[in-house]
Amino acid sequence: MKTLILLLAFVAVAMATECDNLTRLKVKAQWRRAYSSGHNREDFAQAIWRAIFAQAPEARSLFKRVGGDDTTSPEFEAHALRVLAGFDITISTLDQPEALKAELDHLEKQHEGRHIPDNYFEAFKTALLHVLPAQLGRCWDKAAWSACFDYIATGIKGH
Amino acid sequence: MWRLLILSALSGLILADQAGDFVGRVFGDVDPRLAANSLKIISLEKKLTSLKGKLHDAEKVDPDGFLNEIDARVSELEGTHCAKREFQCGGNEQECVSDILVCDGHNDCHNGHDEDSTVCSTAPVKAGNVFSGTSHWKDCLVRHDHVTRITITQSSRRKFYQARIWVRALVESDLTSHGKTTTSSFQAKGYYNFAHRRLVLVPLGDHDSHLSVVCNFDHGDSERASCHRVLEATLYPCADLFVTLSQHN
Repeated sequence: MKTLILLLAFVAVAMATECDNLTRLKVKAQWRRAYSSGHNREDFAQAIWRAIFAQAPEARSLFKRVGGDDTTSPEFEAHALRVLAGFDITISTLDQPEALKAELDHLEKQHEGRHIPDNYFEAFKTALLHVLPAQLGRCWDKAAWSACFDYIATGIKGH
Repeated sequence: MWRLLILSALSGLILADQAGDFVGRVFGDVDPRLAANSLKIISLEKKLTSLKGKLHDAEKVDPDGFLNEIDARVSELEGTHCAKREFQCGGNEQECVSDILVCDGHNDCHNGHDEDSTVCSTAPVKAGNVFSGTSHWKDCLVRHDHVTRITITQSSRRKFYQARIWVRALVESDLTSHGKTTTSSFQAKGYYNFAHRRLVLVPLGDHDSHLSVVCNFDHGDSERASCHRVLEATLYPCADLFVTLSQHN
């Protein structure tokens, strides 16, 4: 019995995707397709933030300063694009550990002291993991994204 | 016109008279006019039955649906003037919005068309819908024309992100080889995109050898769709398939 459980545990570990080098390259390539440009980038950001606030309406209060009450306000659109730009840097540097470390430290500093509960990060992840396949249509790897998002989020949370 | 009226009035009288005689003979003392009326009622009933038949026939020719179909087909040929993955708001204000915002519960078109109830109808991908039609292979596989059935087994729509319906389906093909009919089937997952009225189904996990299905509900209703079997990575079309919704009753 014990060996069976041990074996199953090993299988589970082997199956869970980690944010390893190849996975990072995959995420990077898929992000390039999804991030798009121009008006479509604004809409991509808009869709993600609507999905976040739909899951965690209380989170809006954190974004009062940047027009969070109305996600279509110019202030908030600017903020949404800024956030995606930061996220873009982390994804783009996934294969350059030192640069990635520097960006994650930078983002951690920007977020510390804001008392962001972990479930807001989860809401961001869930939003991203639903808008991404809508944007990409096909050829996307949820497990890869999940693993690499967790890696980035942990870096920003600092714990 | 007048002549016709007089003629019909006359023939009515004659008919009534004849009927009166006939009924008088059968019913004896019954008032002949009452008897004539009852016969008229009988003939009215007959006319009603034939009207019923005509109503059934009228259902088959639906001018509104026909206009919708022509409209959809012409729009298809005209193009939307929007970029790929964008939705045309239509109406007097031509405007394009990204398809990831269509039917998400927020107005993004100035005329609100992206949240219109006909645009956001979930009818095409209701769980339990069965679409069937004949696949005609042009490339990728050597197969005779065969029937393909697409059964929607599951559909879910996330409350926090409503712009897509996530779908599970069973795709079956009735293949005939050497006189024997076998059914080749696979489970698929995918989504329905409101903006383009498009259903995309990709084989699940270990069914990789099968080809994806892409259906466009481009006939102005939720019952007919033009589909293609495609290679997932390139979207290269291997087979054409026109499907219709099987009647539920």
